Amino acid sequence: MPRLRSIALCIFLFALSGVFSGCITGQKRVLPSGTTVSEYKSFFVVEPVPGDSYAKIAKNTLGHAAYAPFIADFNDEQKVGTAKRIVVPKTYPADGGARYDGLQMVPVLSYHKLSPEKSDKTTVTIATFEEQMRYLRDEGFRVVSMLQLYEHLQFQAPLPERAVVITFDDGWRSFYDHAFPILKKYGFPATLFVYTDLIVGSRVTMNWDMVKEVAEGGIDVQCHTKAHRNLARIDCDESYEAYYASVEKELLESRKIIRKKTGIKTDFLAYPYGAQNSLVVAMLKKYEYKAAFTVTRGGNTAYTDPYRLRRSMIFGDYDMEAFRKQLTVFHPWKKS
Amino acid sequence: MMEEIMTEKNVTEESMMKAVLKSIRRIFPLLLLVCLSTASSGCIKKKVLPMLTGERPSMPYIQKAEELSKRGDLRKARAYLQLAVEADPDAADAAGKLREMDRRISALTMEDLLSAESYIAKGEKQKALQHYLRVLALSPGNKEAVAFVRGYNDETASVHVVQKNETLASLAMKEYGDPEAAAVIAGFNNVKPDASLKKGTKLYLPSLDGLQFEEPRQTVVKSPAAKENEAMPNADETEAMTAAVDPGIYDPAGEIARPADDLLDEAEACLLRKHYGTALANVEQVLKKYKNDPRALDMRNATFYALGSEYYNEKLYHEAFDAFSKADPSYRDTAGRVDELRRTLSEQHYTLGVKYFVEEKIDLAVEEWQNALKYDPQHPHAAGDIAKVKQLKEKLGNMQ
Repeated sequence: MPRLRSIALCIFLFALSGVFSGCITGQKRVLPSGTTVSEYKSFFVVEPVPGDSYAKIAKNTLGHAAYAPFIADFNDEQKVGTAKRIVVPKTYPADGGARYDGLQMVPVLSYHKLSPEKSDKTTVTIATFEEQMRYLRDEGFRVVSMLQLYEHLQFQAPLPERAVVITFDDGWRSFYDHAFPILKKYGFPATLFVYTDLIVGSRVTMNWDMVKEVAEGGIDVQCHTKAHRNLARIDCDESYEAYYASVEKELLESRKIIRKKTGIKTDFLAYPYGAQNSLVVAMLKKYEYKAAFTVTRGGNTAYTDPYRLRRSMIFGDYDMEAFRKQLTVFHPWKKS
Repeated sequence: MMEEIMTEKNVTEESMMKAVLKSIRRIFPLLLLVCLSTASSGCIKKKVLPMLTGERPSMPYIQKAEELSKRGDLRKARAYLQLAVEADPDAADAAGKLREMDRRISALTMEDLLSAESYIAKGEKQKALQHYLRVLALSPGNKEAVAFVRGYNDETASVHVVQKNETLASLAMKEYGDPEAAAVIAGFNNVKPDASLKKGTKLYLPSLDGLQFEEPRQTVVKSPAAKENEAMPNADETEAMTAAVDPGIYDPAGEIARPADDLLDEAEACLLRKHYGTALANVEQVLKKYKNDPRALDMRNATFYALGSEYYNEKLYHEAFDAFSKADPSYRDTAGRVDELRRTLSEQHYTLGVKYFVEEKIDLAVEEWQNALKYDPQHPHAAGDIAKVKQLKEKLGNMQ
């Protein structure tokens, strides 16, 4: 009799523990801040406390603050402080920007020079540039690297909404003196397209040590040809043979020089004057460039030709209204 | 004996059992407490509370999913239903709704795929694109849609199999209308421009669309016919490339009108690299537009001065003189350098003249002395010597 009772008791205990374990599907943690994090198979659910941010949530769930924009997008960017719960998916689809209500477009801004006082088509004053960077940050744009854009367009990786890419052309000294520190201050990635003949370290141009230094500081250094020739056009008295050889040199030498001087392997090109033709595109593919940029305005979509990616030049005389116009990040479908 | 042992064994077993039971009975309340406390955090909330209040933990997620589904965002609605199931496995309605959503998504995906394919069959690429993008909005990984969208604007060089008697030039004529373009086929396929072709060889023929010639201004573009403007951004990228150029960046010739400062900065860099030709070209371009631009003028002087010095060091005095003469005399010590070169060149010509005189090549000697005077009208001997020769000639003439 006592034996029976003991067996019954054991069964009861076992059953009870089974019920409990089935009940706790999510592992619930309470962080020192008071934030609770429940983990499920493909989500975290966070109950935030005042003082929490998307960056903190990203770090506490997915392990890195860089995921913050994705989490913010999923939660429609509602304010963390007032939200009852924030849902954190563990994976994000590489959808090329295709949404039910429209298509993501990614603007790529193209700058050349900064100057303390003067401005013209290719020169923006330092104050204006700083104001534009502040605007991007304050208005919730996500400045992403060119490589992130590329992987997004290739359906290889997800990209947050409102993504923008910043590029500088040529290799002027003012990039090193003024733009680089401002970009660093805002934590914005950027790409510098250098044409190697310019990198001589004059009063107004960078030298190779500077190029190396900005590269080590996180700037993505890419190719802008060797001598900045117009690749789309055969010059007067130029034979097809000379033209072909010259374009080939522009595409290969520049790459070689950058590699030799800095150790950086370049896969992307910005066309001088944005000028290209089908032959140049075919040559880029032959030499295994991954993508190339024009200066045709507009955002980039998943179906934009990767060898004719768009960029919007930011002219020195742009006011904030003109600047804003370059930042179209979404194309809504017409309601049918 | 045997029995004794048996009973003894029984006794020990029984007493052991009793001891275990006793101890379990003693810790039972404790065990119960532990179990309940762990349960209370998740279980009471999930199982007991819903029973009391009628609300399940999956409820807010299902509500959110319904809201999203009404808006049309099925992909995100599905995510919330998935969360509802994961957070509340016992909620039968959540699982059912998720299955229902999956069915709906795959039906819509299939519908769009079929529409896209029928548009492709009709040759309406743009409309097909729109449907494929809708597929991707619902089912992001769909391979067919990804392949189509990625290849939408892809240009691939066509492959040609060489026929009997074909040459690079005949191929270029046929493909591009210009036998000279054989160099392009040669370059692109890594063969020598004068190579003879073997029948059956495969050659890439890259398109020359968009290739421009500086003179006369024309483009070999097979300009894409204007297509109806679909409700899509830049769906026809090629057309956009030729049509939507920014008037602010391009001049009619198709090249960017670069700001003067840009050109001059570049000229400065060129000067440093001793690329005098490019430096001058940039400067002249600026001066053509801004005749008196002080920086351009200064740069022009600097370039000629540097060029002159370079020639001087190479002992190419004539070239040095020409270069220095083109700079403004007031630029640095240009005037002094020009004067010095005048004297040097003048002396050079004079000496050469003397050499001819000694060789009895009188006419050549006079010519050189005249050259000497051209560079330095004040040459101490040239004028006198010419006069002497003239006198001598006259005397000789009289004597004859």
